[in-house]
Amino acid sequence: MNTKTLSKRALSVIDQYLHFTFGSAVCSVPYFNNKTVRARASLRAEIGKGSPKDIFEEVETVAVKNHIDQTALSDGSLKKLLVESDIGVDCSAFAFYALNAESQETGKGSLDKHMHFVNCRGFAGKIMCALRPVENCDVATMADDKNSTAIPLEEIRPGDVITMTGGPERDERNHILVIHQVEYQNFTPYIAHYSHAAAYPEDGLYNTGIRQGTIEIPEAGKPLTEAHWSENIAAGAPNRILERARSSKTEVRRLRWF
Amino acid sequence: MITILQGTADLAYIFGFALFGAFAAFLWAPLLSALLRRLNIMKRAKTELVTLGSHAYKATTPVMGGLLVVVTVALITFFFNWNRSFTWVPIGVMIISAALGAIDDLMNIYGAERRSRKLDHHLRLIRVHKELTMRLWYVVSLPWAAFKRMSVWFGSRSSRGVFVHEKLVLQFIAGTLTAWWIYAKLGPAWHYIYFPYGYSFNAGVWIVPIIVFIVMFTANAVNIADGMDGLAGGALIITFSALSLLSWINGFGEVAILNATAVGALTAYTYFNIKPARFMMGDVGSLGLGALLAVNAMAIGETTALFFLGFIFYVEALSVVIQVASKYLFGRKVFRMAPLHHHFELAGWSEERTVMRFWIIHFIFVVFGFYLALH
Repeated sequence: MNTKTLSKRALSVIDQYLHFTFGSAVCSVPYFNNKTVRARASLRAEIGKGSPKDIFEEVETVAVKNHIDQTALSDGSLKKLLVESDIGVDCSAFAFYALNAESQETGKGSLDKHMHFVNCRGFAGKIMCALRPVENCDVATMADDKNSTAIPLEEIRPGDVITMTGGPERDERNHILVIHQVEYQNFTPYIAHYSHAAAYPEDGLYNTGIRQGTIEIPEAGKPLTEAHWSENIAAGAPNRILERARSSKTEVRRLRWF
Repeated sequence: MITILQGTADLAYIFGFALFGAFAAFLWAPLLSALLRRLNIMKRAKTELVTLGSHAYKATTPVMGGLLVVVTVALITFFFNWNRSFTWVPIGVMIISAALGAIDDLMNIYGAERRSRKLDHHLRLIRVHKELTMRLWYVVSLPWAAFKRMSVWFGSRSSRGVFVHEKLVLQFIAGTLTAWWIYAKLGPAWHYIYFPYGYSFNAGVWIVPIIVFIVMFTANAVNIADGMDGLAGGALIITFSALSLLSWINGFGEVAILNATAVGALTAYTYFNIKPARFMMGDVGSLGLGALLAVNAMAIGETTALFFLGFIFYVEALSVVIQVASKYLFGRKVFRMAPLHHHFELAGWSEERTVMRFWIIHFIFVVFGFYLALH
């Protein structure tokens, strides 16, 4: 059995979200989707589109503004500070930064150079996308055929994404997972490890954030939704991500330039 | 270069007014301090957290200490330096701007929370309000409502004080008054913008919007810089000292006396404003003195030197402009926090270190501005 992973740089980005460190406190960056507050023209870190560095700088500002002693922060109070300051990340921004690091590390340049921003129309829209690429790179953009192609599950490899578009609810948000590691058995993918930013109903206010899980790849020809998905969730809790995968159009996709 | 000149004054006489201003201000400063405390004119802490830590004492420091300078300068000028040609418009503009600042300060303390209706909400009311007269009113007031929402673009949220759009209108009035005075009353020599080494540019009627912009921008710049104990006061002493000397060199005796009086009063104010401050300047002082600075510099034909004479104020204001633009366009900050003095505070500089370094940098640029103005 052998294993393939994303580059160290991309894994480091994921780790910085997963183990966000400020002073001596560590927590996972909470999930934040701007659709809940609809802030316009705000800082990236305040609308769920911040990189780990953006988030760190914003937390630093909030801490100094409120005279919070960095060394006295516990893991729980750091998470609380992030949540109450509306600082977090959404699934597409998380995927963007992880894949951007991978793209740069493999010499393909930054993601926004390759990406077709399908939501940006007209001259003003194009300028907007050029100025704020992360904010305009949603799941629909990454899942668009201009940017990525659907691939069979047997060909899955690190750097691929699993997109979940549409859903039973009319205003269901799209979702995206990043495959950061794949285990092979006899040269065929056996287990795929994914990372994503998510908020489940059971999480309450303070337990949302970056999560990791695995998918045991089923035999060839079987759909992804019949695979065994496991994530670090409480015993007895519903497997939300699998439920979501089953209720949406779920595909494994690969960015065209990957 | 404008070199008229009536009413030139002896330098010793000008220095005398600086001393007189300081003496008068020192005399009634304890009274003002006690009055502000008695009336409980103190800044409300925005959150409970800001009442902790090194800034805790600021929550119980009175604001509107700028009255010390504004009132002292206005009274001394009125009684001892009243000149229809050269002092009543600067004092008038200072009082208008200071009054606007005072309203803002008082509303921030005593006023109720004010909300700004969103434009979508306004448009919806035009469609759905049950009364025709109200629907018509909403149609008529739509441009004003759109102008009002501008305050949100500038990062202003609902608060107790004067909204940004209201401030802009009142400052525009102050700026227009100055422009009218300079353009219509002082004469054709003031239609020119003078550059160092003898260059000049006849702006004609365009001098009017230029003056309005400079007055508004300078008043707000000083207001923005007034964020740390002693910062605005100390920097204004340097600026008005240079301006007073330049006024005297250019032959504007009354303006030189006015500036010297401001230096004296500011010295007393800064004495009480050094950390930990007995009182803070407030908008009443910063807007009033900012406007006075701009008017006096333009009145003596030093419009171009003004950028250096008010260097630290403009840099602070530009840091806010850059920060807001970057936030809107790129979703990123250029500075850790704006205005610039907070950037350094976040970088670990103490308040005292930031203020004193800013004074020194300001002094260097004021000397450079002075040097340019002499050429």
